Amino acid sequence: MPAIHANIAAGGPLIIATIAVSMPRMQAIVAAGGTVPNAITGTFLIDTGASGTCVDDTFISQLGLQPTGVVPIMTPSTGAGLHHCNQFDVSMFIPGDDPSRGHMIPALPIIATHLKNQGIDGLIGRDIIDACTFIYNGTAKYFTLAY
Amino acid sequence: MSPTNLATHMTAEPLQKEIATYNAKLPELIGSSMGKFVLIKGDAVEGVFDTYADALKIGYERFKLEPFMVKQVAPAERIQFFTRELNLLCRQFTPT
Repeated sequence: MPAIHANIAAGGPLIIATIAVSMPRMQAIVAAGGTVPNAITGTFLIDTGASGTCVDDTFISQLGLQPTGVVPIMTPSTGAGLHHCNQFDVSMFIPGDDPSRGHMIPALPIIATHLKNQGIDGLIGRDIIDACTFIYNGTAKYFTLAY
Repeated sequence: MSPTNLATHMTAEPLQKEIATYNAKLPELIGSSMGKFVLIKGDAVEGVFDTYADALKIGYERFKLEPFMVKQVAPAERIQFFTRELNLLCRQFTPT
């Protein structure tokens, strides 16, 4: 089982992951004779308190994405109310300890928000974690994400 | 609550027409396609698929880079919870 082992940083269990347009969108861009936007690499926090994966909105603009969904969300500041976020389709690659054996997700719905001011580029939510084994060893200061 | 009223508060651009179509078709979708992924373009349900990836693939094959919506069929909206604070301007985000 491919896995990534890393030390727990001051900001928590952080990994480097790459975001690109989804595979179906990539094929549509190529078929239309367009240029596929370059993939973007960023720092993601593995967040078991996040239902879904999200990225900083600069990723969305750089990838030229348009929404393909809308999803209701609740955060500490929404109180009892709901807010609705546009949802975008991307692909994600999470490299393993062996970079050639990473975890590739060809089509993943994500939401966009402002996260860079929190020192990260995105959150890895339970939509991804649910398909993985995640071990957080706080006393030894390391974590494992196996997929 | 009637299924048709479950998502009427969803008004984000630019998928307003698709959201309205989902709301209108929800009662019959619940009966036939619970948990599956529906592909909607304008006022038409273009298909129902077992996976998100399959719906997305057909969406891009049929509509190229034009707007369309993929949504999982559910009687109640599946809320995404975040314990970390997010900037709620995300709901108004429109890529340029």
